[in-house]
Amino acid sequence: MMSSKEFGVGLFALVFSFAILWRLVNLKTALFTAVSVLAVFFGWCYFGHIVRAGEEMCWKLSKLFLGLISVLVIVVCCIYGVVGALYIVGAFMYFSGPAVLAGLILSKNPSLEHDSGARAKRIHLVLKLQKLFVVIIAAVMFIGGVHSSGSWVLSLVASVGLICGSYYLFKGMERQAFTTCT
Amino acid sequence: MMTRLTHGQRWYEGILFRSWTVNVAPYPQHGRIKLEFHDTLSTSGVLGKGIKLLELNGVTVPVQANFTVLVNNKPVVVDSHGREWYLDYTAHTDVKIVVDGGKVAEDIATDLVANVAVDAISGAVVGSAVPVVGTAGGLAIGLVVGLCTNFGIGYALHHWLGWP
Repeated sequence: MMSSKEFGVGLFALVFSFAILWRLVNLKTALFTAVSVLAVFFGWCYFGHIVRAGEEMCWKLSKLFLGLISVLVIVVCCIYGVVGALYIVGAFMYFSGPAVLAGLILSKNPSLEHDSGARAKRIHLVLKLQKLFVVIIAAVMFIGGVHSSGSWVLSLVASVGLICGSYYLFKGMERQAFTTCT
Repeated sequence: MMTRLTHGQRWYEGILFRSWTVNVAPYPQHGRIKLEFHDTLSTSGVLGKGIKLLELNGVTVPVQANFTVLVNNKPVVVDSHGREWYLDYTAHTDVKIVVDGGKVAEDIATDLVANVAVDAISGAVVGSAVPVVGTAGGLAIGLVVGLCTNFGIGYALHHWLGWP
């Protein structure tokens, strides 16, 4: 049940689309977008970790994404200063905060424990909604890319790369961590 | 080590404004011009807080650029007579601001739609986890709360801080 191929394809597509964004707009925007997408992944995994106590894979993936985000924050801090890093931290909280909050609400509510159907429904809904963030980010990436560079072809490639990469990564993570979810 | 300008080579200021790269001795090394723009001076406070962007269209502002020419990463050259020439320059010019109204509108619309969408999804994520209401109810309430928060914060930022 190894999904390393999906992880590989997903990561390659994501790095490729961020590289195009770097070329189309600038490094700062590419780093900002990368952190936003990683924050979506982190929120998704950490939500899974909260609602499924004892699920090691979700926790490991959360730590992995948190580590990547921390590295990017340090890089941004070195290049653009503390203010730039604060913007990045804001993006991280913006895209991961709702899922973490939803996880805490779900986990600290005993009434839902008795109705596993309602709980499962809510968990699946939150997981799906969290994925929607990627679509918004890709749409903004496309418009921003066209606006800055005038190249709608490359902007489209970057946006499609982001969506495809995220799709494969989500798929891989679902296989690894959510095969028996709820 | 300072770079010595050899005979037959000319160093004149005019070239600084025409090219980003200046050829200096010894060949094939190249000097680089490093430009650092410091300030944009405002006239009649036009670049103040909460300006209307389209009102800037056509306004001319004086701009000062301080820059240092680096020759082989040194800000100074020594000529064949041993004299040192420091390569710090200041230039003043007037810049006319051109605002593309279409692009500004596009920027604002993109920003607004993206913000509204993200806040609506954020609200829906939290709302769908709230146990008191049903899943659909929580989703709908979350959407509305997310939108209201978006407009509330947006209005507050615009009203008090002039953003955007």
